[in-house]
Amino acid sequence: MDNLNLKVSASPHVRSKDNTSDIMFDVVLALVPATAFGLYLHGWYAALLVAVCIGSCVGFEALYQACMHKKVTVGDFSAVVTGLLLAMNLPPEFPIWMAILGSAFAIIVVKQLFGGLGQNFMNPALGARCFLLIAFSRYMTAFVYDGVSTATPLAILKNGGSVNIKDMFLGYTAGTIGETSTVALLIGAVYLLIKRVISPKIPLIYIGTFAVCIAIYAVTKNYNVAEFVAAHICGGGLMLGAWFMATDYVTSPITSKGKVVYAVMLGLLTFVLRIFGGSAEGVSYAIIISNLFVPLIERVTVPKAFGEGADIDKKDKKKKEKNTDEIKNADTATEEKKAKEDKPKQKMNVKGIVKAIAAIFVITVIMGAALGAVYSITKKPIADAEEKAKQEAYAEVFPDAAQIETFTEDEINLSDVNKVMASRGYGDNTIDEISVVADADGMFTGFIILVTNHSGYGGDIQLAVGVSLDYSIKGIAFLTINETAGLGMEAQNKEFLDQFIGKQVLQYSYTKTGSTSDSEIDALSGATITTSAVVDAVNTALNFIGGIQ
Amino acid sequence: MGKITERLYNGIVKENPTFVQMLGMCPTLAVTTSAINGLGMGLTTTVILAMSNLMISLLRKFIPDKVRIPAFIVIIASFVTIVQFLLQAYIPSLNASLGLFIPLIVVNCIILGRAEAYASKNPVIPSIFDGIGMGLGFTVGLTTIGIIREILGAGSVFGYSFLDKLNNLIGNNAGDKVNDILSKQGIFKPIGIFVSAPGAFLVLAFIIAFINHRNIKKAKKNGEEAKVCKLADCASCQNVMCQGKERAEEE
Repeated sequence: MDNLNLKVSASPHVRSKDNTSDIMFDVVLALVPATAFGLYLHGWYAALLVAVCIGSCVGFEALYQACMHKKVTVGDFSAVVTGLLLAMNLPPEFPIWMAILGSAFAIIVVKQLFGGLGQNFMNPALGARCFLLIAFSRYMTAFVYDGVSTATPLAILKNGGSVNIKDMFLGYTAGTIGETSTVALLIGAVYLLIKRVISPKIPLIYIGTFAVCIAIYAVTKNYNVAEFVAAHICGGGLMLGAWFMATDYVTSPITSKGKVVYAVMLGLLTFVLRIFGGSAEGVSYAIIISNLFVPLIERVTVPKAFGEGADIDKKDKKKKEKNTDEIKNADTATEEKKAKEDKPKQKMNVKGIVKAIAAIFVITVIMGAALGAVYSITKKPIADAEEKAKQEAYAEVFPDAAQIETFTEDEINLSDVNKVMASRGYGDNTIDEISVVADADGMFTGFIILVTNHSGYGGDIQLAVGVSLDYSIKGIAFLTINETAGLGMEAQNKEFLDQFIGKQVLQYSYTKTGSTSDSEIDALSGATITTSAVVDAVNTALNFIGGIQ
Repeated sequence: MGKITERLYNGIVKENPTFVQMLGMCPTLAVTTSAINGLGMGLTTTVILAMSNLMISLLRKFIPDKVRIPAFIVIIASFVTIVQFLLQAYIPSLNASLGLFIPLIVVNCIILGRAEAYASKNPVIPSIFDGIGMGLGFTVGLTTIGIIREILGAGSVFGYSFLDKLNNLIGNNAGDKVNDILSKQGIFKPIGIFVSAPGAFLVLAFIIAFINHRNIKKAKKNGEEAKVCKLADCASCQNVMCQGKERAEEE
């Protein structure tokens, strides 16, 4: 700690009587109205969540400090603030053990491992929120309001619905425990401003930048500008984030100019993430990303002391540059000298070069021969293994097939087929093989199409689709799939694939908000890209068959 | 015999490529989404390491110094392709799950590193065992990370899922309020972040922190200086590979 240069401005410095615990206590007080409203809205389970978050944050801090033989500093209220902010950022029905895990991440990983209070590189509560958002996306985005699970106002807005601004301002909407009520959060913010705990600079510039961007966007899209801007300012975590988390002392810039840069960056990032991002929310990611830039922002915005940067300084610099130039010249001179010495040696080494080329040549020949030998040995087993895998997949996708007849290149020109498919909007897919299926009596009962989709998350996805004559899908099996384990790989699960089976649908689509019709497939959570690739491949097969019949 | 066990011990424990030398980070972070992938990648690399070390050690007097790197690459790349053919032919399932990462073994720095640092300067037998030792060390590292990530992120061990068993164990035989709380818990759900990229970094960081902690303790017990960076004490540091040294001197 001693060698840290904390002074960014010239002396004299004012000494304040404030200490950490007073400030943190003020923040807790300021958060009371919003929390109280959240508890009034969501009931006892939300209260339990708040208590668990605060308790486990304080507990983990004490535990870590005790284990590491450090001074236990839970009396400074900073862990209470972290716990309270984390709870306010959780949905009201969030599982308790996940909340405890989030508290552990906030306190131990984000805060203590980086040196404790004053050393954390991002806001602990938001770090934990984003951790939970990636880890349990389904639970973090399941909002219940009035006993019914609903989407948040911003999600409704993103999907083209309309919202009630008055309810949003007062807080009677779905959302996390502490973010819904703009008015309650503003009461707390005013308290902090009066007590001079925070300055209005960061929040006002943040919200201002964001509002301007949103207004411009609304104008270009011909939305109702006033309503759209008001909904975006009242909705989501913007108020909570701007007043209580972006202003965190540790993770916001100290310098005056830096604060402006930081706040503008927050506004722009929030705008980009909310409008163009995959989810309707963007405040938490915007704040933690900006947190990471704070050291850089501070470095370029250190204020100049009176007299700094005058002519004397510049002269000094020039002198220095000159010096380094001289050194460089000297360096190149010695290098050239060396090179000259080396040259005659190289000339002598024609023999060496010939030898080197010969050596590489011999090695390449030996290894090439070995490679060829192994290739010729494994050629047949590889083809057999591939054929076997394909046969197994075909039997799986068409269980009652007695005969499977695959068209050869002469019968159907696949590259022409794929050109046609590309013109129908399935350019991301290629049809690799087309087979017809007959039952035991020799009656033609359907098709098996082998399709590769090229836009999977982990590369190509190849799958076989069995389709009967009435367009209903008999089965789907993967031949190649390299998606993320636990996320995209779940596409192989029966529950996911069963959504396609036995329905008479010509084109499927996927949804993240619960399927409402036969043609809608519930997306795999955390693997939208994989879902989209599989759905696209299946649609390609269906569209192709529809084309022939 | 002593030389062989020394090489194996060196590779698996003392200079473990994953946890001590921090080599081959790309496959370490990318393929360890499950224990079986980690194990498969590790063993595949071990086979290639042993073969390339053998070949390079055999040819060490024949390969001119100036072209050694291209020569090594040709040898390593050929062995990688050979192993890929063999996998495709005889273990197609492993080939399917490792997929893209098998060709990338060519540029795995452990293999080129051992060729350059050991096999090109030492006799054949120790070189083979150096390769096996390093490969097994890599396997241990990858499998450990894979097991932890799979348990936390997918709720299974070597593909065997324990989630349903665990959730059945807890059951729903409680009273009204408690039942209400329990029903909201989803009991144990896999923590998805651990099978995606950030989880790889988190798990690796925690394992390395733990190993360093052990090493420091052990060194203290023996009264030795621990080989860790103590910041701002570069002058007395013995780590010649450290890049921070020059920077510290400049400042």
